Amino acid sequence: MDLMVEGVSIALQRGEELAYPARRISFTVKPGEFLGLVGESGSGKSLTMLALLGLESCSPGVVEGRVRYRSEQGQLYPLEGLSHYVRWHGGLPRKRTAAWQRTVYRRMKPLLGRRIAIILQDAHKTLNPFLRIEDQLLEMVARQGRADAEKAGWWGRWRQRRSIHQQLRQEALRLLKALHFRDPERVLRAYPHQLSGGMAQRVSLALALASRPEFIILDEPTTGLDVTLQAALVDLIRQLKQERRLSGIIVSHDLMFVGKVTERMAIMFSGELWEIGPTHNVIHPDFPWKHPYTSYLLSFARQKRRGSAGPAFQNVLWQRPKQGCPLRKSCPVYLHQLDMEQRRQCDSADPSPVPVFPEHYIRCWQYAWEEQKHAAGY
Amino acid sequence: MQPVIEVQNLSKNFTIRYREDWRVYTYSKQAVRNVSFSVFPGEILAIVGESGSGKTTLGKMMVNLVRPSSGQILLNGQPVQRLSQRRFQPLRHLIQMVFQNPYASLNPMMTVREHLEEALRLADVTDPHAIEQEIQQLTQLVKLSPQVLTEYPDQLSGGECRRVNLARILARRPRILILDEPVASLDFAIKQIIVDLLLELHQKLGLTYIWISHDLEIVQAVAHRILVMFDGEILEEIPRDGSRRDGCGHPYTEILFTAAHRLHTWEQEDFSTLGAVLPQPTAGTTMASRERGCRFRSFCQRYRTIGRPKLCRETPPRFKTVSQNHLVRCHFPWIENPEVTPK
Repeated sequence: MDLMVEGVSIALQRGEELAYPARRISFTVKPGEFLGLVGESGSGKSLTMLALLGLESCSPGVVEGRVRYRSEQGQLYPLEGLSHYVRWHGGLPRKRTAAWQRTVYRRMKPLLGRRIAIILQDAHKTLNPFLRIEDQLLEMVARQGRADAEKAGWWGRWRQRRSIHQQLRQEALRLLKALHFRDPERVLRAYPHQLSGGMAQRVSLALALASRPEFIILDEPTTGLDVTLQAALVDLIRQLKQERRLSGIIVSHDLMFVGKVTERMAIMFSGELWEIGPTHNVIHPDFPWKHPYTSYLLSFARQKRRGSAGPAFQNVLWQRPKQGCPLRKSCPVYLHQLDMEQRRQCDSADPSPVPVFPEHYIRCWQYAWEEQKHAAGY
Repeated sequence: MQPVIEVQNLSKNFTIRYREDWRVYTYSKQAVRNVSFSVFPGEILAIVGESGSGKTTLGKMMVNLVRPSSGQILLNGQPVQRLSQRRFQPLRHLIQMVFQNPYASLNPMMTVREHLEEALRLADVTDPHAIEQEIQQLTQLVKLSPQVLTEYPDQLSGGECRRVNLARILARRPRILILDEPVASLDFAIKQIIVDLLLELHQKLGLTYIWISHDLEIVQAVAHRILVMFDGEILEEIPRDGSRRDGCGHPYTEILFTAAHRLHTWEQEDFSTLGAVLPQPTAGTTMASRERGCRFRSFCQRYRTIGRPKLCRETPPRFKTVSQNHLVRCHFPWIENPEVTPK
């Protein structure tokens, strides 16, 4: 139901150099709520998402922070939080990777594919190329069916004994219909390589939904889907939120799509969260408080006609400055709007999140000053 | 003006075989049905439609990668649909296609430089000095940094990979480019950059584009003419600015534009009403059963609201001219007041 992420950092080591594709990421996803993780490619959003489930494969991977998940019944599952597997020697982490992997796997096993479903970016990779869609989908439906059958008791099972396969097939067809397949029968017969990218995307969504998860993680769900299907997906996710109180995370670079289905949105760039808040506030052009990077993102989404949207922000994954705000070298506010005094502040320290609205935090010095003024009684 | 490409009554049937229960079944799928249009020099013609509507097959037929089942393709007035690959070879200087998946069209064992050299060899540039110069020019043309030349395709980012593909294709100096989803699955900033690059090349080299896409936002901003495809048929031909102004159009185009519009507005709109807009077949019908009458009618909201007229059930619609250069394949193309009496 709810996922609590507290200060997770992922490290990448290249010789003596250390970079953080995700640095002290913290957020909470509440029941029945979707969180959108938005950023351009290379900003570390996919990696963060994988790390939440212990699936990331970079080395040394997660080095600090913890992730916990609370199920519908209120049981608390610790997922990450294994900082005792990491020792720091001269500023570099040494991690007992095998033991860590084993532990994370043991912790994830009761959850993944049961309570938590995940849809990866490349749908063709999630499907088994040797099996027909029917066999893969019915397996997931049947797993849920077995759980239902156990609830039904021996009399229920006796009544259902004949047509189990037919029932499962009907269930699978119903799922595919809900995902707007024109010819579900043909899809069931097909092998994954016979499907187009968009179809494979929808099939993997069907696989994920077949296990009736409480929490769903979608990585770039709109790639390969055309407009009508994107609109249908918006509709489907809203419906699931209402009916099953499904919650989840959507990782995407499509700001408008994420804006349609999520309650809260986090803006990520260069491995760090810069803004997190209610979606309406974050994406609305008239909302007064915005991180400079967010306004840069919005300038792309807003323009109908073509034309460049100003100089790009530079990703500082490997060249992160020792002190000061890491984005300041390419930040238009820093370059054009601030006076010397204020710039000195930006140069001196990394900004910390400032609340500008209930549950809306921005990491930028501009708002920290406003906050200080408020505190001083201006 | 003489069209550079003329497509007349083009169709493609695919025979699909599959095995089930130790028997082999075959059925025929018509990917493109009786399509006719022409492309004029210097034009950007967009083809939009949902996935599986036959856009890519149409593009592949124009570069002789798929042989049409029937119909004609005239390149500069010359029929090419029955040419062998060898006979078509000289025409590849004229027309080239950029494929949807840029990684799949590059060889993972070759560096970017080797790709460009190979393309130049095919363009009959043999002198090593000339090759070096051409590579310089091409990388500048597509704004590729020179460091990329020594890299392998798996080291490239999505945007770079698309640039390499473009450079490789431009080495043969084509006049017509068929762009199959040139900016799909790219990040917003890179998408913008690639679109700008393509338009710049269009200006600079005087190219003709056939832009296959499902991204209506970009297509509307870029294209001179839009063809809307559904299930292998062209349903509507929209001239540049006449798109939504004259209040006419095919109901399918209506669906496409409504969905795109709702996804791209700021307000948290109510999507529950969109269920009525989205194409949903009425119960018990499939596409295959639509041999008579309008093929779109089982998805058509307008057909239902005007009382399922006999005309739609009996006669397949022809193109109607609703305003200048605006053709709609629908019996009732007027949106505002469909003045019809159900029969």
